[in-house]
Amino acid sequence: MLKNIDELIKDINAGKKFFIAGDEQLLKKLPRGSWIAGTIPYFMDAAGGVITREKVFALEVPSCAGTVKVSSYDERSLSSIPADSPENGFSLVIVPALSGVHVSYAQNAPDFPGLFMKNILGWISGVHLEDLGKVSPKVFCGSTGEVFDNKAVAMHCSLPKDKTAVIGIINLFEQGAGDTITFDKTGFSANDCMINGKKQNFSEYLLKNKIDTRLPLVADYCGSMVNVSFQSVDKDKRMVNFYAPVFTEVEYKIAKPVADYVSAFTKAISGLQTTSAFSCNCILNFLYSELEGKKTPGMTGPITFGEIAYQLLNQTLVYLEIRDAK
Amino acid sequence: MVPRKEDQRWKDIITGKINHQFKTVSAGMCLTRIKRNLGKDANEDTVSKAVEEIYLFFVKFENILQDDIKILFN
Repeated sequence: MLKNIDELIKDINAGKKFFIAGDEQLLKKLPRGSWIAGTIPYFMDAAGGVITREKVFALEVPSCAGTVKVSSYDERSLSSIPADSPENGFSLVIVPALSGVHVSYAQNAPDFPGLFMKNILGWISGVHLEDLGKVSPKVFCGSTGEVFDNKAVAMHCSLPKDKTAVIGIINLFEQGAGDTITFDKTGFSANDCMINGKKQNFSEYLLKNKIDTRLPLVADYCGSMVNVSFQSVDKDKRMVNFYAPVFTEVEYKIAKPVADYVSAFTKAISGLQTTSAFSCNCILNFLYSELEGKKTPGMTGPITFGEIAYQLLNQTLVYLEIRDAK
Repeated sequence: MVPRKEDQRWKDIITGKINHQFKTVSAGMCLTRIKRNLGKDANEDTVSKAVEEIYLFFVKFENILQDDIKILFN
């Protein structure tokens, strides 16, 4: 929930543990304690989507959590996040956008040893869009007081035997009925691609077919729809840039449009019988679906520059459930 | 109930002979990664390691994969 900074300072000093998101100038005021944070001024609150530099979003670590350990990771040590994650529990990771660790996590996480054997979720920290290019996104390690724009932070939380963590996603985008698109290089940009098996320049394809690039590429990961969002189409350089990497050996399609995000979202969560212990949603959903002032009931949290459910996602809501273990 | 690792269906799952749409996001992502890597290098050793990986994943998360297990193995 959104909190005044003074209120949060008191809570941290009282020994409470938090996942925090907020403006950098507010986060710098926080005392040392058991918390991690990332910069962002966009939030989904219970009252609706909001942009603020006056309050922070602070979610208390679930009361059933046992051991809580905070660690930071550079590009070389990122791959040890799963190994550091508890056997029964979860790890919440925050990665600063536009950094080497962001690129490294995005491209390499699927191959981190043991990634899918642990519950790894999180988000990519950002800045107010007015500050893009002027201020770097950051993450905070509350236990040491360190601030990083080139390292990730993680809070590893163990759970007792009678509890289990489950990570879910809500992705309203489905594959459209159009062309199948593949890439021969993994990366955040592409010149050429294969359209239904035939090589074409991707920027020319998008422009010629008047593709709405607010719609992401969608890949079917054996039942889970995974998006790659468009950042820009450069006609002169004949290059397309993405907010997540495209991978080789994966088939993509342009998404079907979603007419009414809020209605579609409400329908999607109506079948869930859960209160999330954490959730985050993508800033592109916030902007394109005009979520400021609108609600996504039951799912509140930071609005982010990318989401993590094991690997990096785009235009997706990620949530954590703590269930009773059967 | 998760079948033994030697069950042929594990190999069929990782090679795509059994094509299943998972409800659990980690299962779908894990299998996709396994298939991508096998697509680059499939031999007796890599297939065996892939079977081991998906089997251990199912064993650990059997409780949350119940719906998928019923469809795949019953």
